[in-house]
Formats: sequence, structure tokens, C-alpha cells
Amino acid sequence: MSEEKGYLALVLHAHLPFVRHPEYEEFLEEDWFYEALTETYIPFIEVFDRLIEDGVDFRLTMSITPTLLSMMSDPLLQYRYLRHLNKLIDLAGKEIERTRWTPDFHELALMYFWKLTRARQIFSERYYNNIIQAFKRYQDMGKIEIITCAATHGYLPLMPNRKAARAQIEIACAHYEKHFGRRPRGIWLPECGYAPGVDEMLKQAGIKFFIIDTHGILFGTPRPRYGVFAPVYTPSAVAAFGRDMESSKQVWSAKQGYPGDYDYREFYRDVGFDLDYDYVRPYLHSDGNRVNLGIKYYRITGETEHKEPYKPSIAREKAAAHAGNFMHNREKQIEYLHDYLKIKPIIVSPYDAELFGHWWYEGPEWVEFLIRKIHFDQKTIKMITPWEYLERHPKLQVISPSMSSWGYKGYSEVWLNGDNDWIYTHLHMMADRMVILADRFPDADGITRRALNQAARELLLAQGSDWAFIMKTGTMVEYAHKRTKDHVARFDRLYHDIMNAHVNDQWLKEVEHRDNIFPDVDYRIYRG
Amino acid sequence: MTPRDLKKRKAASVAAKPKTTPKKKAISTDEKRVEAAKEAARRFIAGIRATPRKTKKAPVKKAERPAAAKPAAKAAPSAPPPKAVKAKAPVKPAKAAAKKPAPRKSAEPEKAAHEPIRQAAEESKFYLGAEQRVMPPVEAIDIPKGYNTDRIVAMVRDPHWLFTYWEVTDRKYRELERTFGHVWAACKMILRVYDRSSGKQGHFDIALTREARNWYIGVSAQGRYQVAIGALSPDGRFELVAISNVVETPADRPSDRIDEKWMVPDDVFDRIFAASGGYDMHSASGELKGLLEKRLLEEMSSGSVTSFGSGALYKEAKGRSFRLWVATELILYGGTEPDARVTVQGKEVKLRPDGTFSLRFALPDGKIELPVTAVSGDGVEARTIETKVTKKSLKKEPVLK
Repeated sequence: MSEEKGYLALVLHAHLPFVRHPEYEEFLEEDWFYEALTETYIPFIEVFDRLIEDGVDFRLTMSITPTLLSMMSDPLLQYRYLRHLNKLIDLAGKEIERTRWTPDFHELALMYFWKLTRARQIFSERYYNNIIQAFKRYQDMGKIEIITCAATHGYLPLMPNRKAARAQIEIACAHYEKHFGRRPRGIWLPECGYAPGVDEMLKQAGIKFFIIDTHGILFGTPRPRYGVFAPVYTPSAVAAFGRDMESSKQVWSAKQGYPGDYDYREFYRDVGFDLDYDYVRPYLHSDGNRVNLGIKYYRITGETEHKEPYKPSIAREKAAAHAGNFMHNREKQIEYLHDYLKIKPIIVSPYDAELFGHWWYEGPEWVEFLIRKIHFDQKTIKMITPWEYLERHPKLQVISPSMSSWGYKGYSEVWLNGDNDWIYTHLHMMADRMVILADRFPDADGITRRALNQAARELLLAQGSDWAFIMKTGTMVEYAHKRTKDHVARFDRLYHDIMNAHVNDQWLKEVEHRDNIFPDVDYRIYRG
Repeated sequence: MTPRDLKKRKAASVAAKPKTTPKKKAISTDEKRVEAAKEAARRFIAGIRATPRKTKKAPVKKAERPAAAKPAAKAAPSAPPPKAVKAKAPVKPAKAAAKKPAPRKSAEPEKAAHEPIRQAAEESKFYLGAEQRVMPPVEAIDIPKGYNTDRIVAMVRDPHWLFTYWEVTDRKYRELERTFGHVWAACKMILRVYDRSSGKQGHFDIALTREARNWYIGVSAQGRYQVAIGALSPDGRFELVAISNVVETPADRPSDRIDEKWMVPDDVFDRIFAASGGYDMHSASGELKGLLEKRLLEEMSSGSVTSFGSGALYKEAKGRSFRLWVATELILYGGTEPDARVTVQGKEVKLRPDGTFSLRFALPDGKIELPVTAVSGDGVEARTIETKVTKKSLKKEPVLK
């Protein structure tokens, strides 16, 4: 058997901000999580199960952020997801009847009913409401490598307080260990955001590698001998894997990018808006506003408002063709690089996990086709995880990568602009005050200790990069403002209450109940 | 037209293209005026910023054409490139800041043209189709207006821009007033930007309005900077209030340093750089922009007809965004004895405990025959009622007055 000429490292970044509102009976933004479960995470479980069953070997790297892990393991959200799912299954059942005279839609109603009931079966019967177990199993089998992320997806380049940045990383590693039984080897830096000095913190946390955007390597010092096609060591000996642009463009290109194909399902046409209000009303939130319900009947069709019914079998063919195209291009790319660079290049292709399934409905199938084709149809490419690569090729160039992110324009503008720059005065002051508190009360106990731990949680939750992102993009802005302000205000009160030795137990209990992420957090991590 | 419809229009376009397209049409002149007024007010309040600001979001206010406002906001360029600031120069105070060495061969990673699409997809994670809403607060939210400390913090936005924010307490202002005495009235608050790059020294000043709380500062790539805030008297006396952390801007091009052990000749590096996607962005972006504008134009000028499953119709008049769609459903309901067996079109129907039933069908164009049969609980008697329905949708030519 001839040897491979290079590697492909597919990296899926699975993240959602921590959204959990026990103080409300139901909460719109919790739908982010429910939709992602139904459309992305559970479909991937099905993909991996099928591959394993068919004896198809594969390697995939997946970051599952601590906030997402926390939600996946939270009993309230698990319960609410089932409630959500049951409602949808009920609706899908009605849709089967309602569409009886419109065969195109009838077929789709049946598909949704089937998929939703299957999701419920996987979620509740196979994994007892905790699908983390599924991913842990794939990791234990050596198929996927799960890496961590900063605790609440805090964007590190805009975090001048090093202790606060370090806490984001260390809390994440401890949280990972709790769920997966060992320390993480790798990390997905939130938004791929790297700044000099971050590598040092990663080293302290025992992390061996991270992913960085293309120009982080290309503009590194000295010049990278192999561009992004071999990882480098940073000065603190943590390996950095650069993102490949070509494979990214292939998926995202405006012209020939895959997700926009006319045969794929249209994301924005949803029965929540298309059907009679009285009919869908029972499936909406109590405020009665129309929202997406996840049952979508149309394909993208073209650049028109007129949409044709979605045809799953045709879309599936397209996904297979696109997977073949992607593989073919990676083969060509790897052959070229292999000949030119005289090494086995590694192509690192990171994507948002929610791209697959949620935005690009056929995405999980595309991944499955790609993996199968790589396994059966060629010999040039070998799928690999960054860790396996390092074990095979431990000798790397040392480079100081350049500050970079994978956000629009490549630096920090997405998270720092006129729409969101007001948050930093608060975030930075909170971080500084957290350190002051930790130094002032090096060994608190009782209610003071609880208040200090809660202050740490409020700081962490405020730091999530999602709020700044949402403020910039304009979708659900009110909520991002609310969350930032809530955590800023709660922290402020905690700070003063602790300093004045005047913590209100009942209020603290209420806040602990609401923002219950990281139950084991120890504020002393912020000590000097 | 409902807001949702517009969102859909926007949505349909997002699905296939980045959202950075200037969808100018959606902003009416009135709205522009409102925007201009708002912009002016904001400048007055916040102090003029030497900043590339995102084009202000179209108003979220519901009063006037809320629907039209939304997509405009979505389609607004996410932020003008730093260069755009130069055009704004007249509205800014003295701007030593803008002076920077002419870039050498610029390889600034204006991210590749496909990046906006990725952003749109990322955004979809948070898209629920819902309108903005105000949540009833469970507790009073009161965030501090300030922290009662004199401080200034500098942050790096990208190779060419810093962001800095500060707080100067009233206490400090009174102290400055005492220090300067009668010249205080003629003093200006300034930012003093120190170049701390190795082998360099010097600084430039930016004059501030008293209300300014933050500033974007144009600087050079690969520099080290520190920003001080203080008061400057007409005769040049500078009284420091606070000084920031030292920040370093990243490189905007490949390093000149070459590793002996990992030697790579220029031409080879050039090819590697190209293969890594280093040159991608510029070539692709122009092309893409053209494509998007074309699509947008098509979308706006062409009326289209759609079918909503069971036959909905609407027509758009040229250049107008008025539309209509209609769908039909048929509700069939009836009742029998609770223990009877009922079939509709041969399919069994579940009865309510009181023996009634109702069914709902999307009704496409065409003829439908609907036999409803009930068989009594003892199986002895059967009754059938057959309903025939013919549905036809007619689309008439639009009337434009």
C-alpha cells in the first residue's frame, strides 16, 4: 500500500454561549441550544455511529466549549429540550396530515417526523439526556480528539489582565478533565484569537497545541519555512497549527461555495412564519411572536423569492458531489505541496460546528461523504488530529506567531467597534477587581467564599465573546445587552457587598441559582 | 409588508452572499436625515471620535417603516476600512494621529472575500427569526456609570488602530483647575500617544472634547505604544492624569527575519505565501463585490412569483416592495357517536371523546374528493358523506395607480 502524501485535519468548533434562565418558564434564546442539538450535535452522533458501524476509520478534532458542555449536562436544559422536542414532534405529526394533498411537502413532513423522533430516541433513550457521553466514547475509541476552549469563550487578545485570561484557560482545562477524565491536549482559542503571551498561558495549563488563523503564522517571526502547511512551535514550545485558506474558501466562496447551492435547504423559510398563525401558535413561545420552528420546506432555489420544495434525495446527491469535489481539491493541493515542499503537508480546516446542520442543513452528510470517500477512494490524504501529527513529526520550526483572529478582517475589530466598545471598561474593571478581591480574601469561607466564587462566575459570563459579536451583527442585540449588563451589575453588587462584609444570603442564593455555571469554581485562581 | 417578509428577503440574500453589500435603497431620505441628526447628537454627547465607526444601525424604532429599516441595518457595511476615516477628517479635531509611514507592499489581510459569508453563517447560530423584544426585567439592572478612578486603558484593534478608553474623575478635574489656576479655562484635555517602539521615541497629541470617553487612534504596524491622558495649557505645560498599559501592534506583512536553520529563499517563500492564501484576499474581493451588486440589483428590480405549497401568489411591481401572498387550507370537521369508526379518504380518523373530529389540509389547486364514512360501533351501520372541492387560484395583473 502506498503511503499518504499529506494530512487533512478537520476541526469542528462547537460552541454556544451559556444561556439558561430558570427564572423564566421558557426563554427564547435557549432555542439556540435546542436547535443546535437537533440540527447539529445529534446528527453528528448519527454520522459517527454509522461510520463506526461500517468500519470506516476517521479522525476529527472537535472543540466543545465549557459553556456548551455545561448546557449539555444541565438537567433543567435537558428537560426543557425534551419538552421542546416533544412539541415539535407533535407539530410534525400534524404536518403529515395537513400535507396529505401536497406530496412534495408530505414527504418532507414525514422526514421531519422521523428525524425528530429519532433525535429524541438518541437523546433520551440512548444517552439518557446527556450526549456528552457519545462524544466521550468517540474520543475513547480514538476517532475524535476533543479539545477545550476558554471557559466562557472570552476573547483573549482584548483581555489585558493576565490573571483573568489565565483563569479562562485553567478553568476550562479543569472543566474538561471533569467531563473527559484527562487534561485536554489542545485548545481552540476563542475566535481563533491569539496575541503574543497567550502561548505562555497555554503552556502553564499543560496544553500542547492550538489552532491559529493563517496570517498568525504567515506574519510570524521569523518567516515560516512551510507556510501554514506544517505547524510551528511558539517560543513557549506549544505547537500552533495554521488554518488553511484554500479549503476554507472552497466551502465559503460566494460563487462556488457549497452551502449556497440551490438544491440545498433554505435556512430562512420556516413554517413558524409560513403557516397560518392560529395553527402554529401552540408551538410558539408564550409571547406569541412568530419564530423559526425548524421545519423548513424549501430549497434555496435561486436568487429569487420564489422557492421550490426541498428534495432531500437531490440535496444528498449534491452533498456527495461536493464532498468529492472537496476531496479532489485536497488531493491536488497535497500533491502539489508534497512535491514542492518535500514534506507531508497538513491541511487544517476548521469550521464552526453549527455550520453543519444548522446553517448548512446537509453539512453533516457532507462530512460523512467526505470521510467515506477519503477512506475508500484515494491514498493521497490521511485524516489526522493535530496531536497525532505532533507524535509523528515532533521536529518543528520555532516561530512567534502574530496577533490574529478568524474574525472579519483578521484582527479584533468584530469584538471592538462602535457597537460594543463600551463593554470593555466594565470587563477590565471587573477583572482587576476580581484580582483585588482574591488577594484581599486569600482564604475566605462561608458566605464570603460563596460570594467570591459567584463574582468569578459573573466575570466569566460577562467575558464571553458572543455578546460583543451579537452587538456587532445586530441579531438579538437586546439580549446581548441584557446579559452584559446583568453580569456587570451582579458583579458590581457582589464586589461592594464583599468589601463591606454585607452579603445578602437570599440574593446570593438567587444569583447562584441563575448563573450556575462552573459549580466547582474556586475564586483563588485569581490570586496573585 | 411585514418585518418578517423583509427579513426573509434579506435572508434569502444572505444565504447566498455576504451582507456587506450596501443596500442603499432601503434607507429613505427621511431616514438618512434622522440618521444624520442622530449621528450629530451622538457626536455631541460622546465626543468626536477619530474612529472608523460602523455605519450606524438603522433605527430600531418602530415608528417609521420599521420593516424597511431592518435590512438596511443588516446590509450596512460592517465597518469602513480604516482609510475611510480620512474622508471624515474635516469633522475631526487636529489629527496628528493619522500620519503614518506609507505602507510598503501592503499585505494586510483584509480577509478573503468569502469571510463575510462565513460571518453570516456564524450569525445564523443566533438567528431565531424573532423580532427584537424587551424582556421584563427580573431585577433592576443598574450598571456603574464610572468606577471613580482616574485611569486609561489601551487596546489593539488591528495593525493600524488602537482603541483607548479612560475615566477622569470630577475630583481630578477640580485638582487640575487648582493646579492651572486662571489658565485652566484655556487648557485642553489631550491624549498623548507615546511611540515606545525600539529605537524610536516621541509622541503626538490628540485634542479631546470634555465629553469624550474613548478614542480610536491610527498607528503603525509593529509598533509599541503607550497612551497618556492629561491637560495641556496653551503654553505647552502638560499635566498627566493617567497613563495606559503598553501595547504592541501586530505585523501586517511577513517578517523580514529568516531563520538560518529553516532557510527559505524569497521566491520560494513567495510561492508558499501564495499557496497559504496570503494573496487571496485582494484578487477575490473586487470580483465578489461586482457579483453581489449584480445580484442585489436583480433582486430589487425583478418582481417574482412564489408558491407557498398550496398555491400562494404575489406580484411585485417594479421598484416597489408591496406584495401579497395567499394560501388556502381546508378544514373538515364533523361528529358521530363516540364509539363509531370514521375514515376520511379511506384513512382512519381519531375521534374526540365526544365523537367530534376535525382535520386540516393544505389545499392545492385542483379537484379533491373527500368521502367521509362512519361505521357504527357495533359494525352494523355505515354512513358516508362525500364532499367535492375544486380550488383554482387566479393571478390578476397588478394595478398601479
